[in-house]
Amino acid sequence: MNHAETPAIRIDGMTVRYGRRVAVDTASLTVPRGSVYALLGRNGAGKSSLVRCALGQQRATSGNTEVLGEDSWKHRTRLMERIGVVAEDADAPPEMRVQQLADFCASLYSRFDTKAFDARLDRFGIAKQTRFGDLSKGQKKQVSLALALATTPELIVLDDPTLGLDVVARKSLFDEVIAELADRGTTVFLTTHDLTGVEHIADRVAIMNDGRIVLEEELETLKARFRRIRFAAQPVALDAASFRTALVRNWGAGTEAIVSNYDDLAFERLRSNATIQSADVSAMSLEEIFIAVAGEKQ
Amino acid sequence: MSHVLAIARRDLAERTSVFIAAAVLAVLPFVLPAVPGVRAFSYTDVVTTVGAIVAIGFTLGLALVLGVTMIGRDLSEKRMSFYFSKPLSASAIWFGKLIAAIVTLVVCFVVLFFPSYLAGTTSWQRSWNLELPVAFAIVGGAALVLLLFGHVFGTMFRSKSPLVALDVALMAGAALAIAAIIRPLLEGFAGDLTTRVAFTLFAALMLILLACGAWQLAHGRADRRQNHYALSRFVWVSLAIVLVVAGLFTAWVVNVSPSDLKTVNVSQPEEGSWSFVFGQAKHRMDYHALFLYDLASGKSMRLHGIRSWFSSGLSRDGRTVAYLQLPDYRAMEGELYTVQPGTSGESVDTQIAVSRYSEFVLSDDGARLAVIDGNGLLTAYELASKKALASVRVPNTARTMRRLFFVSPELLRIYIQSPQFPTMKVAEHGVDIYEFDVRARSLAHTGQLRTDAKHLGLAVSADGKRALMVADRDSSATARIVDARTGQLIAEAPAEGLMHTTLLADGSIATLKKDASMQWTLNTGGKQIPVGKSTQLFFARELAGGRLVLNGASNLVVVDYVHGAVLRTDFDSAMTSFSYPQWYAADPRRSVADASQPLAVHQKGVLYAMQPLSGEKKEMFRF
Repeated sequence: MNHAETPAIRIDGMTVRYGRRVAVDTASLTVPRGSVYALLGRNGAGKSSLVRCALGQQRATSGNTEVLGEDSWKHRTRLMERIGVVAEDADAPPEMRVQQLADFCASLYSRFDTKAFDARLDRFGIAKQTRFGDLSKGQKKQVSLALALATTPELIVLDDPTLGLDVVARKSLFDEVIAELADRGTTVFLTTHDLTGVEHIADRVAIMNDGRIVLEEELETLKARFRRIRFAAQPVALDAASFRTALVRNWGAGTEAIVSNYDDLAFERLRSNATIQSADVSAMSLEEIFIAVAGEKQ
Repeated sequence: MSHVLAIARRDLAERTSVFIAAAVLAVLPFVLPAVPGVRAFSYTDVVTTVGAIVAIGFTLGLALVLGVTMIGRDLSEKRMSFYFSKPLSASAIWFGKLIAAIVTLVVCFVVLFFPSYLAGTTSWQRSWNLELPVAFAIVGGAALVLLLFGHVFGTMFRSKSPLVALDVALMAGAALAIAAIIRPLLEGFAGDLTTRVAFTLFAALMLILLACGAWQLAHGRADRRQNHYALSRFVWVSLAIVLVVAGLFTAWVVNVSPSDLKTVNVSQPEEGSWSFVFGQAKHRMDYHALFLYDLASGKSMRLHGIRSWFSSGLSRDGRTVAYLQLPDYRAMEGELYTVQPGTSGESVDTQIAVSRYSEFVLSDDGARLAVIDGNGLLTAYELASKKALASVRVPNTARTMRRLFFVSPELLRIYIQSPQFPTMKVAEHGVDIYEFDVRARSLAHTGQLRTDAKHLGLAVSADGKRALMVADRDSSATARIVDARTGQLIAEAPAEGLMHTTLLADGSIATLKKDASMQWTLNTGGKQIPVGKSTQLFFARELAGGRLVLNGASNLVVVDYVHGAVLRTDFDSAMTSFSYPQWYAADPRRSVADASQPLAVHQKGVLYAMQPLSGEKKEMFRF
């Protein structure tokens, strides 16, 4: 496998335990190079544990993790030269001024782009003499992103970057990521709750639920195979039409079903069935798919 | 290295407020003399004293705070991921932070200390009586200890992990292990070796604590509990290895036999086959060991917690030894142990605590023990039941001489030198003689020995009826035979001193004299027997049949004093010393040995038992 074919991240059977609690349960995923990969999951699903282990900040109980073709636990120091990280909680020392942070990072990275950092700060409207602890939550994320991108990374990892940000801050942050993608084709691996934001930039998604990866595929494929079908009456023999249902529930006097293997021909056959009075099909947003897969059980 | 410095610079940039606080506090010693009440003192004395106290207090307090926070705070506030998301190794993070902490401490100490020191250099040196580099080394060492221990405790307790309970248990275990390693060395009176072992253990601990941070971060990284787990694992495994090595070393040091001694000294009771062999052990610095050594079988038995035969005694039947075991070489109090070397060989703790300055004797059968302490408190014990039978306070006690023995199992006789410590002169007083009836618990003053001498020697005949008192004046000495119970004078003769005067089995006095040409003459019963030339000669022991053994450093002379003849003269310049007679034993009684074999140390490292009548030498062991 040559350099281009090596996935940016490959996680194989990762398990993370905290005492008796299993935070990540035999999770496996592959992030292709140049992709934008979104790991979705509810709070406590195990996303941050998975990210920390993938970055070599924490040791997984078992499983293998390779980042940019290297074991991320063994070769973390070397790997971090090629990876930009925006942590879930802004973790820079609060006493440091933004300029000091930039100087500190510049002394650690051979490829630190001071001009790009300054330009992003200007776009964000953040003064370089401000103490990091005095910045708003959104500004802290913006500074963290600016620092991460200034290292000209091959892979950028964003752990819930929009958590707690307002709409404007979220948009500005994603705009920077999109611009980076456009400029350099950097691989992006992000975990998020912000499904609408990520829907426009992600190539591939994975959904994590109770520590398990329950779904992982190209976003377009995912959206193509998930449909909401509403019937005026019930019950409906969806199995007979070979539909796999992710969710079936009452919808007024009728029934709503979420199917995960939709195709038009099968649906037409179903609708032509004499017992069905009416059936409508509609496409689903990523958020709706996520809720159907990960949210409804709780 | 550049990454280490980058971390150090970052941490230092964060500590501006600490440096400002130190600078502000540095002014305090110069302001304080203006305060009413302080004005009465010398300005420079106040400035230097307060300056030093503030500098030391601030530095040590800051060391503890930095130790607790330098890693622990980042971990508990989940900020360690900031470093681990950068291309920084765990070692760079740890040593960068450690260097920053040390630089902070040094700068603060210098800022706080030097202005006041320079204001009164002479006053500082007078007040603290310490060379500046020594003072810096002490403060620096203490600060480093606090910094590193602060880090360890900070990491452990901030993790809020139940593992802390195990750490506390292991800390207690390590303390006990260190005590178990050190104590046997102290019991072997090895002050220098103990200091070196303690220093080595401390240095090893400091190295472990210096390295543990790097290990902890390499294996625990950004996770608080994993850091604690990694730290504990490193510290306790490393410390366990160090303690096992130190324990093996101590075991090797302690495991000595008589042949492991570098210098052999022997002391030989006049009765029985057991002797005391003691000295400094080879390759073990100042570690000392005392053995009971059986001339008959060549068996030896180690007595722990005692350096030489002083503070030990054999019963007259030669079967029981009592000895004072001290917990360490500086201890003023210990416990009495007994052992029957010919039978069980097990030391028995009598649970009788006595001071170092106490004297004790066994009854002739070894069943009872009497102890007299420095204040004259006399107690008789029964060893089988470990019970005190009776106690009495003997008046007019001095520490210069207390001698006692069991006349019978129920009766103790005590000889007490009268003057109170620290007066060494006995001229005005002499010796008081008491008898203590153990059953009736009554003390009787039975007699006195008066003398105008400065120093006094006392020996009592084996039957306890006659006593030899040698009174040593500035220019001459006198030997008196007195009634051992009443002190009544029986006979008197000029003498040379205690080691040159002895009480013979027939109750008469024998003295040794030398002339200017080192020719020695034995005087006894009106006979003058020339015994040869020697630089030194003294009475070693009396054999049955009216024969006396005399010895010097390299020679041994046997005299038949009844017939006035020298039976043998052995001289071997390679013999460096003969066994010491127990002149200063608590029991003053002398006896006649039937088959005494004086022990002699050969300069080539051999201990010989001599047959005085045949001149035969039997090799006991090599060392």
